[in-house]
Amino acid sequence: MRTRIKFSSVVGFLVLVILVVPLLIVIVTSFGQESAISFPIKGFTFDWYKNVFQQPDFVEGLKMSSIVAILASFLALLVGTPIVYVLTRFDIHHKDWFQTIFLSPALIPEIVIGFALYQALVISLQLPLFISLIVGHFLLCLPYVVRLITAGMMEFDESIEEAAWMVGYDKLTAFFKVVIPNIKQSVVAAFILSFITSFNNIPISLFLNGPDLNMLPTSILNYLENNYDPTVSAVSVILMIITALMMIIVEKYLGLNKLT
Amino acid sequence: MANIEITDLSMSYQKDKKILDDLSLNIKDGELLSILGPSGCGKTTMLRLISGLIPIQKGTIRVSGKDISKVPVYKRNFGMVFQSYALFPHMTIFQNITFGLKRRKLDKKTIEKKALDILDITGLSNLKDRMPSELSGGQQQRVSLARALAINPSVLLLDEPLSNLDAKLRIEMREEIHRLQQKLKMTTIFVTHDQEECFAISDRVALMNKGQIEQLDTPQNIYKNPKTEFVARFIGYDNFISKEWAESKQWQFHKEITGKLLTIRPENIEIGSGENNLLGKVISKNFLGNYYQYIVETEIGTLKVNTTEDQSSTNAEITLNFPKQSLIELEDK
Repeated sequence: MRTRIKFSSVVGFLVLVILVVPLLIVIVTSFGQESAISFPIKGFTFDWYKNVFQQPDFVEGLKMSSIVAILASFLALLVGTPIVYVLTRFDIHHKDWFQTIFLSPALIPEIVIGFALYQALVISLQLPLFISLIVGHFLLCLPYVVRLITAGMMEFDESIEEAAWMVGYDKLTAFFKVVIPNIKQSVVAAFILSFITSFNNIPISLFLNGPDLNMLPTSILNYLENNYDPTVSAVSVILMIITALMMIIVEKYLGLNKLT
Repeated sequence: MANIEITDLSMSYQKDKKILDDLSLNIKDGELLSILGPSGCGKTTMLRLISGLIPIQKGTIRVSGKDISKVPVYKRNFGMVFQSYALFPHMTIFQNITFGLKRRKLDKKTIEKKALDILDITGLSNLKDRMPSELSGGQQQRVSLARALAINPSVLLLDEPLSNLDAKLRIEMREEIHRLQQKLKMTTIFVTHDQEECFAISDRVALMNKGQIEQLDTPQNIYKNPKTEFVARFIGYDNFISKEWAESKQWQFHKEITGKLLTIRPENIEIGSGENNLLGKVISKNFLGNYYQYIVETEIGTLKVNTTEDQSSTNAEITLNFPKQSLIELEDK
């Protein structure tokens, strides 16, 4: 027992070090005065943060990434929630097949999804890039929505919904007045996790971007090809902060332990 | 207020496996009828069909003469109390009770007055601003009952409402249900697997087995005159004797029904000789609080005999007497 606790705390510590130390270095380098990323830093400046907001690619990318993440997450909730409701409440044939289909985007390599969508939507169907991008990110978000809302529905006692029908509410009204308020936590968590996933995605955005369609993560990659200055560190820190804030909200609503 | 006529109700989830099998049952206006039976006998399915929570496959249900088979659940105006209480977790007790009233086109004052009335008669007035999670199980079930009654239902349906409560609360709550049912004279269907709680408050009991009603009678009649072996076993008749064998021994009993079996309760067999005698050997003796139970081996099998006094001991050879008036004839099924 003792040795096992010791072992797991050592492993835990190592993971923490491997994960946190590089992040700390990135944070530190974003304040360095030298024009190339170096560690330890010489001097201290906020200039690189200012520079982030002077790069049109980054500003546009931040805006576009946010818009896409919000739209894709909303769409995934709008489609995913009714699907989950049907899958958990009704006795349908081949239920597990459907479950697998809706979770499958998480199993297919994202780069494959990106490429396939580019081929199908952009080349063959000639759909606008923005629509294709939303579709791609929607597929990315759907498994998170399906999994989290399913967990929420499983915990929700079916009789409570039936009680609402019994006192006079039709099924649709009961769904909004009784089911949704009680799975609210899962809905919020699903939205935020979807948002983070979409916001940080590169593989799908890489295939579906264009002249006026820059996503923040791909902009960072592009910037890195030509420059190796602490602006990249600064924008990474900004990305980290946004993600962390989102996670804090999830933690407050639901507790992170419920996500795994 | 409402009587219920159920005709030829059948239900199956899979082919060849009937949950309900051409079941017919009439429930009188203002009656408290219990549906009693072991798990899997179809009693909950029957209640859910009446409530409208599951659609009817075959048969009809009439309430006050009107066929409701096609009326959707939310328009039936039935009250239901669930085993799991099923209160709306995101609403206060007051909101739980007014939720159904708000759906009916009533003005705010009427809703509030109705809710306060129902809170008053169920003794919940001081809890009205609490959330369901702050209440004990017994209190939650009381709210559940109040919520069902608030919409002034034509029929009250109770789905094992007491089975999640502890023994003392169960009795209290069952008296409460009985009191309110009598006061409001509400037609009530009470589903349970517990014969004691069902006998205590029911006007009539429908004992179900394999999707059919085995016996529909008053609690007293079911207890004293079970009609079939299943009913007898379910309500504690543990000893069964072949009628043919009894006749060959010239036993005395009422010969009114044609059937193959006689039954007798353990407490009705006497130790000592009398009109119908049988020799046996005590193979075990157990003290069970208010009685002693002897397991007696005889030529017709192992019998259970309960006595209030300690009358014998293990391995003793004894004579048993089966009084004529306690031997019940059963119908073949």
